[in-house]
Amino acid sequence: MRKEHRERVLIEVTTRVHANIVGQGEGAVERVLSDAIYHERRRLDAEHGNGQVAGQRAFWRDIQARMRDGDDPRKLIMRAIQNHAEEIIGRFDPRVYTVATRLIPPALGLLLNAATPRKLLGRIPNGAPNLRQNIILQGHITALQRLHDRGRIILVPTHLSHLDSVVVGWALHELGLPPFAYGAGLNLFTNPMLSFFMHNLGAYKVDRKKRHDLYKDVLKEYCTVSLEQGYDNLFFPGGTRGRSGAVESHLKMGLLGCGVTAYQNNLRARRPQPRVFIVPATLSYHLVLEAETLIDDFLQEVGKSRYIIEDDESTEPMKVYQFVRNIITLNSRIYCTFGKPLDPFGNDVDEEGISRDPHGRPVDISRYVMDQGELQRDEQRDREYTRFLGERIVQSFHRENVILSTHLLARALWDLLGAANPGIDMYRLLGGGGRVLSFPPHEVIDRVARLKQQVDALAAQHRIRIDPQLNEVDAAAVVEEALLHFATYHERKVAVRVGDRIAPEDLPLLVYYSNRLNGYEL
Amino acid sequence: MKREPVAVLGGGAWGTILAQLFSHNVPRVPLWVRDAELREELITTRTHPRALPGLTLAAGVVPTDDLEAVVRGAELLILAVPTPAFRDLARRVGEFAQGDQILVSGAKGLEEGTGARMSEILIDETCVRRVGALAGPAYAGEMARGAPGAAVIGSGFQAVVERVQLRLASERIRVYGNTDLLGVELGGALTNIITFACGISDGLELGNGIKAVVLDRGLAEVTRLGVRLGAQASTFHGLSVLGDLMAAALSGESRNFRLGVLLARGCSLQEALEQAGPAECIPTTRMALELAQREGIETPLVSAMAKVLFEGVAPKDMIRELMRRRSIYEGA
Repeated sequence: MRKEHRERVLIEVTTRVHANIVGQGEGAVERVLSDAIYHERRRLDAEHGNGQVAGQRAFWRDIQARMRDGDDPRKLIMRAIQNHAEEIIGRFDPRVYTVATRLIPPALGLLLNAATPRKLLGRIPNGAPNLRQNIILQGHITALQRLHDRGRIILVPTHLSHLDSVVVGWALHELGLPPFAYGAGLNLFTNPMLSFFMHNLGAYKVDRKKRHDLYKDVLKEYCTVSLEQGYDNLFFPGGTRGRSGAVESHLKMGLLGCGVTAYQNNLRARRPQPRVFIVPATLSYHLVLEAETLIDDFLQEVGKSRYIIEDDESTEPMKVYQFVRNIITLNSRIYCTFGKPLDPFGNDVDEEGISRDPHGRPVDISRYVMDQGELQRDEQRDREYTRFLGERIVQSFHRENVILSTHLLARALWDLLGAANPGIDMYRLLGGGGRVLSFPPHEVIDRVARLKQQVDALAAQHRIRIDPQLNEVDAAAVVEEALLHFATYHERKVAVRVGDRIAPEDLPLLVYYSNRLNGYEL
Repeated sequence: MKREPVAVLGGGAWGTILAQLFSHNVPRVPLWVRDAELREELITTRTHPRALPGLTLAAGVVPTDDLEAVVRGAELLILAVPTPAFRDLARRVGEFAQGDQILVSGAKGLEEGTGARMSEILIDETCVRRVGALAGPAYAGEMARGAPGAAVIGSGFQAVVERVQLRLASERIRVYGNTDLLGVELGGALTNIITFACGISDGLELGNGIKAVVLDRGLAEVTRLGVRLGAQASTFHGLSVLGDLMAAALSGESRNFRLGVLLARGCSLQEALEQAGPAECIPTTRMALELAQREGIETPLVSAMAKVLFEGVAPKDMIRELMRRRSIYEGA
């Protein structure tokens, strides 16, 4: 957020949230404030003490005491709103951003050079790795670039890894787009590997431990106002990194609804470019940095409640180093595929910014928010529009999902395990309770070939994508490439050759990579 | 341009009676009728002897063939045509419809081949988002004779529910709202199969006891399937499913019921269809079976009906097979 906008946005956000709560009628202010005090005090009691926590504890104690003493709750809630808003609004500085985006490729380059200097120097004359070989940007790129001049964009990527925000930040820079405002979890600002990027790539702070309505209202309003003020936004609609490895099917609608609200506010204010475009993006990796932690969390009932994980692989510099090194040495690929842009009502949008119905006919989208020719506020209606938009985004995520060799081999081995161990459920198999746990290579290759045929058929119907490099090799080579990846990065190899057989070794990870093919009825 | 509050598309029994019911609250209700002969008959005689003998059309009901004018000119459009004709009509509506209009399906069933619900077809074929479905045990024939009735309007949009209630509800018809559009549509469609099974039971003259078993276990089965697909169980115990089912099974008027009776009495499927007319239970059974297999849901009654319809198993043998199933707990 530019410095000159920061104050204005702060005032706008606080004024709107305040007016909205006061407008809800008698008792609303007290109810919302009491809820915020209760949740904040509970959260802060569980936090480890540091200067910031102590300051916040004092702040909420004071609010509670003043409320008890009969101070005007409307003034108290204004203070609480300001407190949240000031924390959320990022300290983005365009000058720092310019330097940071220049620094990212060399910074990664230095890391990679240290990994395999000879190989890199031999391949790349100037000694700097070419990230474009490994991070492949594809899909509706031109539309994304052109729509930037026709309205505001909300970029909504799938979320597998903390590296996603770095990859997307780099992608936007590569495409010549300015930084997007990005709501990053507070834990990323303290992550030693990622805080540099978070502080400088347009990120604003989202504390997902704050679950009360007042905080969410401030967050949503900030997103809405920033769109109205001309800032493109980025957020992960899945909410948190997917634990299972599958493409997201359920989205969180809160922030997604900011698009329709900002659009209506723009119409009401008669802004020259009122439109808001939603661009889904699907990220696909050969290997995922934090896969081990994520799938363990998914498979453990208790772990499912760990909405925020603060101790995964992304916090370990050596793991990040190994991961990035793998990308270069194994010629790993990360696909960032931009889906067809949508409007806040779920219609496709063409490169000119015109919404189209399923038959390609232009749609006057202002009609969606009008009644008898007048703009009409209706939150329930807008929630339904956003729910539909969410469905369209999920469809796009699945359509633009790129299947790589690791996904094919993992699914093939998981299928073979299931077939060879009839009557044994997944959890027993995962516990090593299967009777048959390895397979002759020809069986694995056959199964991979069949799967690839099925995926190719789906890809021909534009229901999924497949790594184009897999079209140039046979199934045996697909298996070899996947085994090479599976043998290098993770603590335990996902699958290995044992004598003349191929054996899955880390079954949870096998499930994780196999799940990338979920939802296609394969 | 000021729009009419409501228009109805489809001059069949259901479309015509809906237009008639809307005319209690709305002074002018355009009724789009594709069939030229029927349209002329409605205009000149103000009666619909083919489907609704005894009915005299209210003065406010205005039969017309101008689809563009009707679609452009109404805030709320009810599409009341049979499911095989639904997509084609929706596509034509999509040429003129705008985002501030409301489209409501009055058809019961799933699309053959795709399994799509009618509201999904409206989304597929038009730019309109505010869609809904009217369902329930309101029978056109009974209502034409002056009997009161009730219906459910299902939609995720409150405005759709409130608008339909405002325009349709009167002393002639109560209109309940339900936000579970999926349940209203899916449940309504799946009742076709249970009604068919009830027809078989009656055709075999098995008595009311076993018909009650078919009704209850059938309902349990389709509820299980619906809930797995995202519907709410409570919807299946409401008017659009249980209510519709009771009316169909008790009245014996539905084509699905008659098809069951005829097959049970020894007719071939072709003969039965010739006598009963096209029955929604055939595509619905096929789709329900596919959905159940995909979701891993046990649906013995649906599977048994599929065997009768698609494998030529004799209804009597099918009943015997169902009775021989292993004993289970009621809630299972």
